[in-house]
Amino acid sequence: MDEQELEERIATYALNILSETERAEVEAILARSAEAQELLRRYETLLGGLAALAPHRSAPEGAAERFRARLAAERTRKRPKLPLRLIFSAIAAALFILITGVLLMARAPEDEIAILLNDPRAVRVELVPQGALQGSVRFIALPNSDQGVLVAELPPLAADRQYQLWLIVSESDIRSGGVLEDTRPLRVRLPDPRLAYTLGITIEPRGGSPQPTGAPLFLGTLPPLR
Amino acid sequence: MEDTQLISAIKQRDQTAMLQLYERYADYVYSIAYRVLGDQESAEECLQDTFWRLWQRIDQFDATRGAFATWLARLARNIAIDRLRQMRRRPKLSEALLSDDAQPTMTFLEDWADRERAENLRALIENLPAEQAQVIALSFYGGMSQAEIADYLNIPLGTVKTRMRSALQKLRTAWESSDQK
Repeated sequence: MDEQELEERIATYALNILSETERAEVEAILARSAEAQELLRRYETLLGGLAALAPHRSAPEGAAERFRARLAAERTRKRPKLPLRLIFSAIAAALFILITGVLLMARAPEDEIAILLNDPRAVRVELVPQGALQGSVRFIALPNSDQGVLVAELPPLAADRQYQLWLIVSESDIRSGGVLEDTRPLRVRLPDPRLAYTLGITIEPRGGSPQPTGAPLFLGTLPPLR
Repeated sequence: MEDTQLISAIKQRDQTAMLQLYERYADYVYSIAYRVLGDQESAEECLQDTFWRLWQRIDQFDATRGAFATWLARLARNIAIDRLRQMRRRPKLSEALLSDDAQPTMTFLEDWADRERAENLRALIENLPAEQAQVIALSFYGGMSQAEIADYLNIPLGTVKTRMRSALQKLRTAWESSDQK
């Protein structure tokens, strides 16, 4: 890829106008190229400046109160507590690899997953790191369905460990979403799409655990799809 | 309290600091959301989602990579574009990068460090060839891919790419040269 093409890819990535497949390609470039990362940083600041040229408008009356209420609601919602465990030692010095999917119920053909990833209706949830572990985890789901895909970029683990996805409804309702097996994107099926789920990632013994045994490394909230 | 102090407090899960930051930047984020989405209800949803995302992911803000206001503006714009796609509709397509009907929202920020650079950017946009500004506006405010723009304008994809590349390179060069002054 020549310099001009690289710049175009990075600029359109920063503009957030690429398909999921194209985004993954650019992210692979970014993962290994400091030059691409610097170019992205430049475009991001430029586009931030461009956005700030929007005509000024006052936020609607009561918006701050509504946000205050949303924030206050978080206080009352207890995050499920998972037992702590020393889980970072095996991965501290690891290099990044790309892990692209995890299966919940049934593996789907790759073309079906590509369709889901590129569906403009798809709901995208970025799981938030809870500690020092680097990486990214994204859950993509279709509204009015029970279908989704988990896409993760995480450091490799020791051979006897695997990342495991959890679908958490409450402290007493935590279901396994499956373990990250390989680099192929895999379809996810939600048990009940009418529910909101807290999505969590932990490290577990190879093959997975019936309940989480480690602290969550990433957490995110998936709204009800129906 | 300075933004950096508020951000540090938010990283410690200080909700009071979060609300202070909200008060400071709500109009700013709402202005950006409204520019993309074109209606009050959607723009407010985007406003709330942007600050909620900020609350959840404040660790992703890296002060060494740029000003907070720039980062927040980009976050708001991306969330607005995602919402636009989820709604599967486009508001009245904006083919102009700048609007004449109001002051840019960044001029209302007290601590906007890049204000001068943004003013320079505005001046440069005004001098961009119309067809280049048009493709940037369609992608930036309409969230359209290059192929969608080609289809919408009924011009070859290669032409869209050339116009977009040329415009973005000019803008980036000007933005960075104003940074060095």
